[in-house]
Amino acid sequence: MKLPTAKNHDLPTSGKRNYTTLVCLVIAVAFAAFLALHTLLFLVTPDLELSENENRTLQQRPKLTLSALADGSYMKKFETYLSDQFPNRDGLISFHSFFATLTGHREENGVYLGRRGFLFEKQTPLNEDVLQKTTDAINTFLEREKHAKSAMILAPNSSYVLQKYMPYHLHEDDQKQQLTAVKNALQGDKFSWISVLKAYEKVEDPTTLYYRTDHHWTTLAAQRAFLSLSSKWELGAKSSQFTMEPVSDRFSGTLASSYGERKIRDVLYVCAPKKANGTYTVSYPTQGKVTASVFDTSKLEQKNQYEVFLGGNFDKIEITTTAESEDTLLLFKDSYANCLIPMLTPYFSKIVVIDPRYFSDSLGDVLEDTDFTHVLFVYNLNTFLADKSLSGVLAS
Amino acid sequence: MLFSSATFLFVFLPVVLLCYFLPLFKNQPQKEITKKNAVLCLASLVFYAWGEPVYILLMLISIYFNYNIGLDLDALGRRPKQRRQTFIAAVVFNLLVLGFFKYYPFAVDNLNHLFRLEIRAAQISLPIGISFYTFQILSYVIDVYRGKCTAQKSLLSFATYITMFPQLIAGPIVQYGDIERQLQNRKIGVRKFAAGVLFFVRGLGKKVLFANTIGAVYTEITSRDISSVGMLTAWFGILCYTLQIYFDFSGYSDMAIGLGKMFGFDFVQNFNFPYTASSIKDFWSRWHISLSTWFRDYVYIPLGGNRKGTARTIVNLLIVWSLTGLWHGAAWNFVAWGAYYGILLILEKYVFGSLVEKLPYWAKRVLTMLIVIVGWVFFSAESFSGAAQYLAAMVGRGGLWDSTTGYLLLSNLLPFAVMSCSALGYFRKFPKLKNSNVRLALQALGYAAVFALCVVSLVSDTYNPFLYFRF
Repeated sequence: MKLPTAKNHDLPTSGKRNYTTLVCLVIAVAFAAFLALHTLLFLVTPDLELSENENRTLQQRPKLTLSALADGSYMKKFETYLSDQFPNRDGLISFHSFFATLTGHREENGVYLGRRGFLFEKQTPLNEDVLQKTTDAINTFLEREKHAKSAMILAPNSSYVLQKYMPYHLHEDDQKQQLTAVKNALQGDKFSWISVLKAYEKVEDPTTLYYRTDHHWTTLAAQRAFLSLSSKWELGAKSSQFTMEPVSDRFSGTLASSYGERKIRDVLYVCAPKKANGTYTVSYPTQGKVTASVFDTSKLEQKNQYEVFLGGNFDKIEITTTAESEDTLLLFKDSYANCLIPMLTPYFSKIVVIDPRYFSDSLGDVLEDTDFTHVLFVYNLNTFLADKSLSGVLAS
Repeated sequence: MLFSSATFLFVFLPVVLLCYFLPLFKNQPQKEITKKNAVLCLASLVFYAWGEPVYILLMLISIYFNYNIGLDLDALGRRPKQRRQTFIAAVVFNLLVLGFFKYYPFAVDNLNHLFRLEIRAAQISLPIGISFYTFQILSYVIDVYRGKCTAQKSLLSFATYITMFPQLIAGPIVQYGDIERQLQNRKIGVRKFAAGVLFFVRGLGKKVLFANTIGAVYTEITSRDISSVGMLTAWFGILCYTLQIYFDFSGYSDMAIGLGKMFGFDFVQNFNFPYTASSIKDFWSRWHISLSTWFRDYVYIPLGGNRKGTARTIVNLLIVWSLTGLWHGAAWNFVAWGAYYGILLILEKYVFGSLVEKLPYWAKRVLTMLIVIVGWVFFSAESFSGAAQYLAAMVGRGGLWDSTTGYLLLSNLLPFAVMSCSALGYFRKFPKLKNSNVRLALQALGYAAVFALCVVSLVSDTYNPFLYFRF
């Protein structure tokens, strides 16, 4: 049986033949011109090295070799090259994100666009096996170090605290329940659970607790948690003893990069003790670097300004202070702790900061060097629930 | 190289069009068409080699072999016995090649399972488009054997037919008889070119703007723990997949048809609003028409079709539909998907067909769509048990809804509504403007916008932020 061939019904069928031909000619020429225009633009626009918004290098024109042709890597690289170096790529991406928002779309690369410009990180689902392993390791560790005072600050994520700004009232898993699950799994005679949600209660405007464009809590939120810790450990800290200073009003964090959002900006604050009690040194043993400040202001010049705190994340940082205190602190943390650490400096003569995600030495050596009087864990819930490195480090 | 990539649109296509339409032999139409075929064939080989730099050899061997088979079949006209043997050898050879590359790991897996063996299957990647071009070759060999057409004398024309890049990797499956004359004599001109442009842009829009967008919803849902997915979410997910597969596949067919027209070819229509079908038989006369026709012409009818009694017809239908399922992929869920349609078609034909006839028209359509949608569960799942779990979610194992249902529905409502209307053909008669000039202007604007948005969209898809996200 003969099948019908495909016909186009959008072309004018009525009217004079010449007229139809004219329409066809316009269509054909417009199409060809569109292709040719882009091909030309390709040839004349210079190639770029970096994409700052994506924080990566762009593909350059690949080298043509026989082996690269045979295994197909040349073709893959060439396709990436063309799309990476597409004329006005950034502009097109911006427009696409605007257009997608118009159609009701509110999610890009695992990040939600909420109301009033708030971006939200997708929540990590609770995996009971992973959590069990981590909490068991913490309990064993605390049992071993039972002479030390210990505490955990586990910060919820903005999607819970700022729920009413989530797109279309999206309701993810109840983080309060997850926090309680972690709390109930931890035990120790001198262990204190710092309830961050309770510490947030006194804050009038919860939108000041999280950035719009970044997945971290703000320095203000960290300070609330710190004051809570202070009263549990009787450090005697008051908020009036600290200054809260804006260092950037152009902060655009990781969530904005993921979503491809350019316009929204945050203010980045740093919090430091007013009375700088003498000097202190911050040393990075693995990197062989020593500085005199917990802030690295050079990072304010780059894209990820959150690295102003301690210069980013490192496996191990040792802070030695001239504080009149015998107390020493061992801190296990993710990046949420970075903005909080400066507030701890007046109360401990030595602080050792371990980031288990990068730490590959033996914890035993660290414990042998110093007899810590305090042990603190600072994490955010998302990282903590997904973390598989802490348990290993605690056992090492 | 996908049609929806910058490489195809702004490097490959312009170069090919330029070479194709550059008149070399102005007053010698025969030479000019040979040149055009040569350009097309060469371009197709580059196109194929771009994705399969090694397997192109396999395709070339296959082409040369079957070209000679065709000539042999013609030459052996008076020796039916030898002719028959040649024919059978050719069919077996082609099926073996397809079978080896497509089904070998699957077969080994099943043998291991069945006889508790531990044969390790070599890692063979599936050559792109092998299912499509093998079927085209088979249609040629069979048609020549049956005497429906004569063998192609020109190797170039034959290679052009098999490799033609518009339909090489995703159809439509062009039967040799439909295109035989066009290879030597086809009308190339501005009218056909314009029609091709419209087809192509429409297809690109279906693929890039519709299928990719709505497909992301389904991907998101299936990436979760399926046991906690609510019933509404599961239904919305499979509806999104229903739209995705239609726009993806018919979009690709439209692009192929459009490109074909630019080069002067008329391919068969591959989709005809399948989601407006009022019975399963009707659905299959509207979905991937070139494939179901192929199976009908080259398997079902040679097996005897429906001329050898009810029992034989049922067996024939089951064979054809299991093969149709298997053609789509080497896994049991595809076989199940095919058999599902086979059984339903048999039931429709012999059991409840007359009952269904009495239903009102809208009820028939709803019923058909339900059957199709449940079918897609089998088709889309990665395994048989995956399909069963998804079906469980659709009947409410994970509750009526979950915490994300409202968000998913609301954030995708507009695209979903627009695509549904489009798939159901509501835009076909729209806008029905009397003034054809206004209508034309609107259409032109629409097509231009679609094309521009496609480019924006396919560039944005490469947005790939590198983040120290959790650090």
